Amino acid sequence: MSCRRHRRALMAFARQVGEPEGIGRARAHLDICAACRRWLDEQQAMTAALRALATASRDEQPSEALESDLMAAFHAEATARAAAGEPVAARPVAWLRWWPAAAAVVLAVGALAWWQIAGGSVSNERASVDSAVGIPECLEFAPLPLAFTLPAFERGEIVRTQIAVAALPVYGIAIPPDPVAPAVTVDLLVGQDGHPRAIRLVTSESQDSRSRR
Amino acid sequence: MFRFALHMSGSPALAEDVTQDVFLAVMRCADRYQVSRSTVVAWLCGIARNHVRRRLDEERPFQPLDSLGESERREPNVESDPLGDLERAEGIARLRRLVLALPVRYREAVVLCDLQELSYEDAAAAMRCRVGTVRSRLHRGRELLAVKLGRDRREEKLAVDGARCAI
Repeated sequence: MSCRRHRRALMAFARQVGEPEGIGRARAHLDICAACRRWLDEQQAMTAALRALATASRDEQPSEALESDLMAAFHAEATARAAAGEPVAARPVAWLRWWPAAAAVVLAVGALAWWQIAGGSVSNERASVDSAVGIPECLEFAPLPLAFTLPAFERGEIVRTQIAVAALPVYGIAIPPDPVAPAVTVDLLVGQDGHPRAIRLVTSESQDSRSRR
Repeated sequence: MFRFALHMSGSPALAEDVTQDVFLAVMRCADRYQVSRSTVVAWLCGIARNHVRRRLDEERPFQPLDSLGESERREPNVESDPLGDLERAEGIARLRRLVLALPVRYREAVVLCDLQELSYEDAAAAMRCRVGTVRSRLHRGRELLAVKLGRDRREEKLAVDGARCAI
């Protein structure tokens, strides 16, 4: 009975998961119990063996076909949802509560930096995010599908690029009727890990307003 | 996700199917995730666990741990390769087979906690049970592995000693 009482702390000790509760008494028990010493040795060896298996397993990767199959399945799902007028991806409401604030902070910081680089005065006038980057003229940032599975947003940058119109559903945007060009210009909100979190379309009006500043 | 499914099933094809199913399920049901109930990793592992269990129930189950002795016993190589890498690779392969042979309820505890390195809390969320249940299943799973590994080593030693005597 006494041995069983200490095995929980000894198991956590063997697994090296921090300083478990009761480990002091368990260590004292080891001084007088050879069976528990043997048991602990076995479990410590088991920990080492399982970690070796875990390390060796890190080289195991799925086939390249999995990623392409998955992207094709995503695209098919997104296209079907867009055609049915449904949201491209179900988004958890709780996640949406914090990201607009984070995105607004990043936009404000990015806008101020842009304003300084462009020679604008920051100290004598109140820097307005809206007037600096023309947000009212652009569509707002929308979270990318599955971006909520990424680590919490800490800092980032806005990256402007072009993507094919046909790929818009993958980014959670419905293909506009009668697109005038095969590609559109977008801004991607890229996080500290290099992964994009959100996207917005850049209209020609907003591009002109920036060039005039 | 792929490695979790691979550790649970031993089948790369099944693991890829499960991985795809998990992310499609996430795309369709992301609004069901509640940050107050679990971390994202635990939630994903829980989805993967359900898919793996369903596939394992549909396909031929693995042999129970005790019956591994006959089919898995190999003739010891008395002229064994002295290279440590080979021995380690054999040991890892043996442990992988033993993990696959554990009853599913113990296997998922070992895979989640020791191979995927989830906390007890995350593993409990993925397994939809209490932390105490995770601890006891992990405890039992590791004891079964230790007993089997110890038995294999003793049997190999006896076989090697016997072969040397014959020579």
